[in-house]
Amino acid sequence: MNKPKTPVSHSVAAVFIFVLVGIFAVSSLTLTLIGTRVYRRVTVAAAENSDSQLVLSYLCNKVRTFDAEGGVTLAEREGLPMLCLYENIEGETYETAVYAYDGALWERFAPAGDAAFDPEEGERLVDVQSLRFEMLTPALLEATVVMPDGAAHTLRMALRTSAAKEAS
Amino acid sequence: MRDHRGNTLLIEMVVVILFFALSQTIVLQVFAKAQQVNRNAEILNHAQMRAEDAAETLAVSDDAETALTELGFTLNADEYRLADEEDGYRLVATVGRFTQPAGVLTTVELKAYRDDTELFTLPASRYREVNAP
Repeated sequence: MNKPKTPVSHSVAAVFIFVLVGIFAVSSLTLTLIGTRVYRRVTVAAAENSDSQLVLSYLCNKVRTFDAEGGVTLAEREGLPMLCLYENIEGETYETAVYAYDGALWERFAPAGDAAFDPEEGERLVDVQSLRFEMLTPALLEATVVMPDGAAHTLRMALRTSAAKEAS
Repeated sequence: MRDHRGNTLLIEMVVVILFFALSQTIVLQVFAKAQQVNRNAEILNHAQMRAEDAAETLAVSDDAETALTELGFTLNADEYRLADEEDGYRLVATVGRFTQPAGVLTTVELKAYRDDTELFTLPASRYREVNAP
């Protein structure tokens, strides 16, 4: 024989349902917050990784392309350390200068010996904090890139055809 | 009648919450996996960059052993090892030398490991003529 339900047992069932719904709401919110944080972290890390790889691959490909006799030179103009790459097009020598300026990596293509150097004449490529080049040995070039988030990456490039020169 | 309806509602609520709890468990596992995959990619990238730097340095070094030591490798049972504590990978370099009448070919095999898993192998070599300056 079933006992009739008292108001107390009714209120216990109601509280139980309320607690269950509450737990569900809290866990859903927690999950959403964790998911947001994970997603943000993954996308930020992927973007940083991609940007740093982009800069390093760009530098590496440029040096490989111009790695010829006298083709790779380090210089400093207007206080900016830069990588100068030379090529001969239809009898005239052209210079591709790669440098960091105004929080970005720039590339400037101009005839070699162009006296007037304006860093803003170049093409802005990707955001970087700084870019530094160093000749570790006459045939080994090291580039150090500091990304906007402060992460520093170094890249060493062996010059196959000739040693690069340091020009002033 | 009202009791029966109340019990049904309760069971329905419990089933729904169990279902969502199961979904949350699966989703959390997916999040953890995504984070792990991302971290692994980052470590692989760092190891690859370091190995490439070492290979480039070795390509222009006449003395591979000295170059490896300068890069931070330590000699351990015929192998040069470099461990990265932060990322948890290690690079192992094995130097081989083949002497010919005309010159010496130095080969270095760079292998990257994480725990006991091999991540990649990167060969580097340097040929030096006997009479080279």
